[in-house]
Amino acid sequence: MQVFNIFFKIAKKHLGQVFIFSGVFLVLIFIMSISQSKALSGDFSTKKIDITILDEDHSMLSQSIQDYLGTRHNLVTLEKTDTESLTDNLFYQQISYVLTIPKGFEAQFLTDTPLKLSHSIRQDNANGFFVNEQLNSYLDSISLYCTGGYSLTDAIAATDQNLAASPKVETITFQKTGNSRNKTMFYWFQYMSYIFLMIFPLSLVPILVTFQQTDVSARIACSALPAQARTLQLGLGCICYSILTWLIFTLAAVLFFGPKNVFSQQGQLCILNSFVFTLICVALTLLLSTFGLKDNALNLIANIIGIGMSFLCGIFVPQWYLSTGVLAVAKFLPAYWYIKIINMVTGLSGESYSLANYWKYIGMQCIFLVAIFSVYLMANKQRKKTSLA
Amino acid sequence: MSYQVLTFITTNQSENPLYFSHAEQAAQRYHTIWRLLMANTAVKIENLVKRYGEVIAVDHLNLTIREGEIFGLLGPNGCGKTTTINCLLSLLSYDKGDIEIFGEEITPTNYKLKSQIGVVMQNVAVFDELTVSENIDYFCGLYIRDKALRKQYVEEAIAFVGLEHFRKFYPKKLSGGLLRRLNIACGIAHKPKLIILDEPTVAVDPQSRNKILEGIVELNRRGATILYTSHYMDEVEQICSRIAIIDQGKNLALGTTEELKKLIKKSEIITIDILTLTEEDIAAIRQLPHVYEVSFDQHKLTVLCSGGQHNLIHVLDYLQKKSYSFGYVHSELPSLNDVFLEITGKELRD
Amino acid sequence: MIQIIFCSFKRLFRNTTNMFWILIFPIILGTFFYIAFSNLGASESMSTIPVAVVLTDDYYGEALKQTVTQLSEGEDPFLDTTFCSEEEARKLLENGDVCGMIQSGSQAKLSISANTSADNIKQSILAAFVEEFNLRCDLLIDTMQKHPENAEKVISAFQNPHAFNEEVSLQKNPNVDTYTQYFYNLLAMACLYAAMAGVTVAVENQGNLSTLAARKTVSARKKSSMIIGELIAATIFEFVLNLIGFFYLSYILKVGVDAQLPYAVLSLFTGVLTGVSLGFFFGTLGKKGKEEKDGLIFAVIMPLCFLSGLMVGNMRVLIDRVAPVVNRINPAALITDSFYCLSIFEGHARYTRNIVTLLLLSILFIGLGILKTRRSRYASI
Repeated sequence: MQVFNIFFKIAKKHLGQVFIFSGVFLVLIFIMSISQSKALSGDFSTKKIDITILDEDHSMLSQSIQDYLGTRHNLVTLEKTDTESLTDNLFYQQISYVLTIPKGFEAQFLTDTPLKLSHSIRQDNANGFFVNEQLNSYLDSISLYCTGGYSLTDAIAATDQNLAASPKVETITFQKTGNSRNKTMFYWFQYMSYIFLMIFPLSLVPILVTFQQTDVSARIACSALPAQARTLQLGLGCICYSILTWLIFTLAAVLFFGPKNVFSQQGQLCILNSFVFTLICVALTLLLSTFGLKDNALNLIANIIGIGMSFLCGIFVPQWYLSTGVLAVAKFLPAYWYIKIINMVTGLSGESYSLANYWKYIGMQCIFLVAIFSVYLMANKQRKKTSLA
Repeated sequence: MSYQVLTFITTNQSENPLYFSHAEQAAQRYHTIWRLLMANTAVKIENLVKRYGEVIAVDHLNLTIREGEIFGLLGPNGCGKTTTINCLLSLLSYDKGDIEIFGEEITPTNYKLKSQIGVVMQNVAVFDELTVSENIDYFCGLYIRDKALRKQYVEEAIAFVGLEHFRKFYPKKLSGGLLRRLNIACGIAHKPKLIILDEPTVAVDPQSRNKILEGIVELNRRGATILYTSHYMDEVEQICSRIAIIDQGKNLALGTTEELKKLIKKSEIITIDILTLTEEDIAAIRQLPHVYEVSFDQHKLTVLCSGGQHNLIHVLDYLQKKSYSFGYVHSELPSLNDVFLEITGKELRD
Repeated sequence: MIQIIFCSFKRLFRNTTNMFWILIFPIILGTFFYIAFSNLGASESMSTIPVAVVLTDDYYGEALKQTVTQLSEGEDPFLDTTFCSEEEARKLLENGDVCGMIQSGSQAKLSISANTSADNIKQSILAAFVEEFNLRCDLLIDTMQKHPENAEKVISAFQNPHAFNEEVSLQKNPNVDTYTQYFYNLLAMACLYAAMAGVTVAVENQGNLSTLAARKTVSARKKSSMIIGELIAATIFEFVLNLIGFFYLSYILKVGVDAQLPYAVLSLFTGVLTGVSLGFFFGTLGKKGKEEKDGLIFAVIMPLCFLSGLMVGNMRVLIDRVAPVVNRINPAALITDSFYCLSIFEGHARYTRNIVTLLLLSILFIGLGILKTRRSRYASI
């Protein structure tokens, strides 16, 4: 087991770097998970956003609009309301929606040429869309009441009354799997895939490249150790190294979220899933190492694989937002199946949980594992031929 | 005195054919010594101490190198040669001591003084991405700003080291010897007054090695002071006018080759292949003039002599008188290795 | 110094492997982003929403039935309705076959599953629909009770909805959407990855790290002039390569990163300069070799990019709320911000502030780095 022992001796030399990576990534994964946890509230409600209303009309109608929006969102009064300040405030998310009620709005509301309200929103805030819908609905109701013969005052009063009587949306929680109460944990497992796609190439490839230097490789090739044994020992070294890393991250999860959550039924499914994905990352790393990458090139390629796969497979942008075309391409990437399992287990994607599907997706990942490892063996053989020629 | 007169004198001084092959070298040395007697100090190192933690790498070292000489720093690996060089170049900080080059204190920012120094480091220091001529041009450019002058110097440097046919080659394509020559060219292209070469012939083929040594002598002939470090005694013996032997950071001995050899008892080693020899004969040989040690082992008689001339003739006379038949006969003068061995108790090549 | 710069250029451009990967990095990732973000959410808002409807045996049930049936007809209908009992509807909701369950009554009630956040938008659309349905029902009932003569007018008015609200964009370029910011972050990351070139400059000028560096240190050239020359070459080299990536994003993928082109190019240049100087500074720390320092640089750049919103899109906004000073000095955030400003704002005040901060950071890093490397003798080599 000489090669295996030496592998870890060389790994020891790079330990400082590995600590830095692991430390940085642990902090990142923690912050990433926490930042997303708020998105997973149990109750449905269209979010309350910060709105500024510039009332130039000062009429009963404009006041009723303010009252209506005030019950659903936070009204923010700004000191300066010039365009520059409004843009600033929108930009820095002090407010997400600016509504301007023009002078004469009420006066012309019921005429054939009503004035229009104007609004400005942040383009990246979908809730702005719903504010528009709510506002339109409200004004539509008032307008229709007036069409039906009501006075403006009565129309407003009737609309307000109807809205007050409208029932809230009911949220039903279905018990699917042995629930972990801590939803943040699922984001942990989700982002762990990105972390592993980065950390293994960066920490393992420099060790593997040491073995692939022509002189060292030639010397080992001349020895009494069969080539197969050498490859297997190296592979074993990588697997042990990666399992150790996986254990550290899983242990960190246990420390952050508690064993009750991590070892719940959902948690166990995610743990197995992450283990399989770890092996895939190792296989990818072994494949990368055959290209003899160093320094800049390695860093950049690790980023391309890590970030590229993360975006295409739904690690950073949820899978249910990606178009069908993208998902069709993503199916050929292992991370897609990993995330699919996470989404299914947590129920986030709407796909109902089934053990059969779970094993199917694990199986898909195993196919990737075997395929990538086979390509590695072939590439390794080819590299040896060319380097020693 | 002219070089030719000196050669004539030394040649005729000795009738012994053994000395005849050394005559030209000796003449060269006498000429150099004459020059040196009239020269200024190029490098002065006084009481240099450098510690790495508990280990004393350089231990109160004193050296003076005169302008115009080839000064050899000889010692085994790890004796402090490179550390001394790095302190001299103001690359390493040191704990104690004074270093002057051409009468001035050397500091990292004394660029005027640095422009007079050329350095050829132990490891090859060239850029893989630049060709031979581009590398020399780059390093020359760190000293010579004038483009036209630099171009001329670069061409001369390429010719000097014999890399004319390799000027567009990249370092990866050069053999070890050629790479060393490139390394040298990069160090001397700007025609410095003081050239420091730190083991420039490591891992070099014999042809390149000879070329390098010839080149160094030629540089010296053109006026440069050379500081040459090595653990190869034959090189140092061949080209250096004065040699300092150092070990464990200390200066053990200093002088010309002859002066150093005179420091030790051994002045001649005679080896003769002989089938048998009685104890009486061994004792008798020990009684011969200038013989201080005799040993006979595995049909080889070894006689160590201290001083004297014609020691070999005396031994052969004795053997012939006793009608001994003998085969291979060898007589050699002590080497610097012997000097080192006697001073330190260990081989130079350890 | 010109000679130093040209030699450095030669070395940089002849390292083809390195050059290739620096060039291809933003291009490949930009393409991945482009593919990932194409038609983002389109499937969501455009697709038909499956819904289960539980009807009561009364007028309300009838009204709801008519409405949802109408909305379920035709090509690309708004709803895909399943009429069933409450139990069946619950089952469908549990299995995720429908996004919501609507029960008719005097006020229609929407029920959704708490288990899916994937359908958040669909659920919100359903909620808005149900609320509007209830409003109109009540409106019609009130009208028929109090002003029955106007009932028909009201019903025909249902078919001709008014638009009461129009959007006014306060930002220059209304096409800048959520996902353009990922491309800005990609450019920022590519700029900061120029730090690796800075690390190379630092390591090649520290005499205790390599023979080549020692050789350069003992030469007659001022170290600062050598370093500055090499940094200039590295900056221009990285800038040219990143510019190609920038043009690829702007003119081939057309993702809208090129608002006010000269200023955008200046942002890119300043970003690259900051990256190179950051790498140079970190490269002067400690005695480790180039590989370890590249690893260190990576461990620095990744968090900076993360805090700027590369991975989690709203991170920069969150940081702005919690610790805004971080965004004011984080080079990745500053670079992203400067691109964003060019699209959002008419004026250049904030943009200029970002650029000036980046320049100051660059000067600081280079200054500190040079201070660290000059006039030094080393304790050991």
